Amino acid sequence: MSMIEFKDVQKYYGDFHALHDVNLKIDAGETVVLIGPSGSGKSTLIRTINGLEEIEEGQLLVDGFDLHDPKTDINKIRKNVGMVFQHFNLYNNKTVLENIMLAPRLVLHRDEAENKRIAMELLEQVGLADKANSMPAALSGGQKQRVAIARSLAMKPKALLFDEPTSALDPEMIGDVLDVMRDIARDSDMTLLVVTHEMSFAKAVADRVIFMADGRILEDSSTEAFFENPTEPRAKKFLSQVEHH
Amino acid sequence: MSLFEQNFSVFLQGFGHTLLASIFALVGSLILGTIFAIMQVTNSRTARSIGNIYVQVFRNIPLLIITLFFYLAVAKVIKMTGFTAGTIALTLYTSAFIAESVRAGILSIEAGQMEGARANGLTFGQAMRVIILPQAFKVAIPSLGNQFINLVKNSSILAFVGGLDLMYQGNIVAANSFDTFTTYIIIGLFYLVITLPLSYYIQHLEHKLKKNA
Amino acid sequence: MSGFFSAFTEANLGYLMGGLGITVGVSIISVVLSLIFGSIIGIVFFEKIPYFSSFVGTINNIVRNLPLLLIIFFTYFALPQLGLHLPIFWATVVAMTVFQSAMLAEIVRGGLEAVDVGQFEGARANGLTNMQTMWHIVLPQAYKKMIPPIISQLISLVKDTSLASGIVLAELTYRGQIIYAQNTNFIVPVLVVMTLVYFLLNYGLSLIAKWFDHKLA
Repeated sequence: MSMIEFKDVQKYYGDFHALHDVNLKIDAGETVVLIGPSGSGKSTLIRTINGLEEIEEGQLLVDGFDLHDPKTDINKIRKNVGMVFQHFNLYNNKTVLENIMLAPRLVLHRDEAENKRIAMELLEQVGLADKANSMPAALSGGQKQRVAIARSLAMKPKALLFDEPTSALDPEMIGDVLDVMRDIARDSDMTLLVVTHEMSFAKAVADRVIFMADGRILEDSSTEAFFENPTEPRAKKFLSQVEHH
Repeated sequence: MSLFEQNFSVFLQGFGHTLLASIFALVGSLILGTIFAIMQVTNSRTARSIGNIYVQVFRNIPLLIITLFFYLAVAKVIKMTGFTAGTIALTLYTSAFIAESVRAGILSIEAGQMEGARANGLTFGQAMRVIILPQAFKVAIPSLGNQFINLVKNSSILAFVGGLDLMYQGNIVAANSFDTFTTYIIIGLFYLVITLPLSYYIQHLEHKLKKNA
Repeated sequence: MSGFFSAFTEANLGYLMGGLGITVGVSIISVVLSLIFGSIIGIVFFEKIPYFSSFVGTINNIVRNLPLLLIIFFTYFALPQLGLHLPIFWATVVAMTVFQSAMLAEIVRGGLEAVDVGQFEGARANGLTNMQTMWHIVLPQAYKKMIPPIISQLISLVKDTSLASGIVLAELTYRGQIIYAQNTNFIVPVLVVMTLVYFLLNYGLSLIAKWFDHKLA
C-alpha cells in the first residue's frame, strides 16, 4: 500500500516552477532518500507532504487523504506525519520534556502519566534523558536535533520526514544524529523520507534513492543501482561532486 | 455641514495655531533632543548624568503638569501667553523622546565609524557632526516621525491654557452650537489631515527599511 | 520655605493621595482592558484575514492618530448626544482603553511578527492546530518580548490620566488644581509635589521595564 503518492504535481512560486510534473510513490515502511543540488526542489517536495507548502496542480495522496482537496483536514494528516527540520524548530518557551509531551497532550489527549513515560523513553533512546528539564537554548545543535526527532516520534507517526536534518550542524555533531536516524530506519516500520547530503547514510539505510534537479525527479532507483550505475548524467556529476568532499 | 461652514474661520484659526505650535516645538525639540542625546553618549560623566536626568524627568511626568508649570508659575515672572507656555512645554516634553530616538540611532552605528573618524584625525565633535549623526538620523527617521505625530496630537494640551489651538476652538464651538458630536468629528478630521498621511508614510518607510535589512 | 510646606496640610495631602488612587485605578483597569482588546486586534492584523484585517487596520490607524484629549472629550461630551451617558470615571476608562488598545495592537502585531517562523512550522508539523500553536507556542514567546513596550504604554497611561482633569475626573492633577485654586501661593509647591509623585511612580515602572529588557536580552 502506498503511504505517499504524487500524481502530476505542479508547484509555482510566482513565475518560478518549483515542482515540475512530479510523480512519485512511496510504500508504507519504505526508507527513501531524496538528493539533489540546492534549489532542486527537494525541500519544497518534502514540505508539501504535510501541507507546509501547497501544491497548485495534480494530486497528492498521503495516508489516503488528498492534500489538494480543500475538504481535507490537514491536521489529521499532520497527526500521522512527523517532520524534522534543518533548524530544529524546538519550542523556545518549553523545556525539552515539555517539547515532547505538548502535542501528544493537546492533539492525542494522551494520559499524562503515559505521556511522560513515553517521552522519557524516547529521550533515553536519543541519549538525552539527563536533559529532560533543560531549555532548548541550553542545548547544542546536535542535541536539539535529537530532541526534535524524539518530539516527532512521540506522536507515533506513520511517516517521518527529515528535511536536511544535519545540514545546520557542526561536523562532530552529525554522527550522533545519523546514528539515531539509522536506528529508527532499522527498528521501526515507519515510512521515512530523508532529504540529505550524507551519501554514506543513504547507502547504508535507504531502500531507494531519488535524484531531483530543477524541480523534476530525474532518477528514481534502488540504492544499489543508483550508487553503482546512475543513468542520469546530472546525477553522475552530482555524485562525483559530493563524494569528493 | 452648516456647522462647519459657519465656524470655518474659527476652525481654520485653530488649525493654524496647532500647526504653528507643532512646527515651533518640532524645531526646538529636534535641537534640544539632539544635544541631550549627544550628552548621553559622551565620555564625560557629568554630561551623561545631566542628559540622563533631563530625559528621565521629562519622559516620566505628564505634559499637562509641565504646561501648567509654565502657564501658572513661570508666566508670573516672565510674561507669556498660553500659546507660548504650551509650546515651550511641548518642546521640552518632546525633546526627551527625541533624545531617546536619536541616542538609539547613534548607538546603532557601529563603533568602528567613530574609531575610524577619530583615528583619521577628526575631533569628537567633527566625527559626530559629519560621520555619526547623518547616519544616526537616517536610522532614526521612522521613530522621529512617530514622535512628530505624537507632538501634533499632544499639541491639544494648549486647550488647557487658552492656547487658541484646534482643540480649544473646538471646545468653544461645541459649547456654543450644542452640537458636540459634529464639532469633535470635524476637529478629529483636521488632526487626521496632518497625522494620518504622516503615519502611512512612516509605515511605508519602515517597510522599506525592513526589506533592505 | 515654610510657605512652601504650608500647602500640605494633612487634609490636602490626603486629598492628593486620594487622587493618586484614582489615577492608578484608571490606569490599571485601562491597561488590563486594552491588553485584551489590543491582543485581539493585533492577532487580527497578524492573521491577515482578507478585507477584515485591513478594515480593522484603517480604524486602528485613525484612532491612533487622534489626540487622546479629543477622544476623552468625545466620549464624555459627545456620546451623550447619541444617548450614551457614561459617568466620568468610566468615560475616562473607555477613552483610555480605545486609545491604548490601538497602540497595543501595533505592539502585539510586532511581537508576533518577531517570533521565528520555524516555531509555527514546528508546531504545525507536530500536529497542533492554528489556535493551539498561537496559544501555547507563539503568544507566550511574543508576550515575553512585549513586556518592556507594554510597561512603556502603562507609563503613558499614568501620565495621560491627567488629561481627564479636563472632564473633571478627580484624579491627581485635578485635585492639585483644586488645592492651588484656594491659594495661589500653593501653585508651585503643589506642582512640584505632583511632579515628584508622577515621576517616582513612572520612573519606578521604567526601571521594571529596564530590568525585563536586561533579563530578556
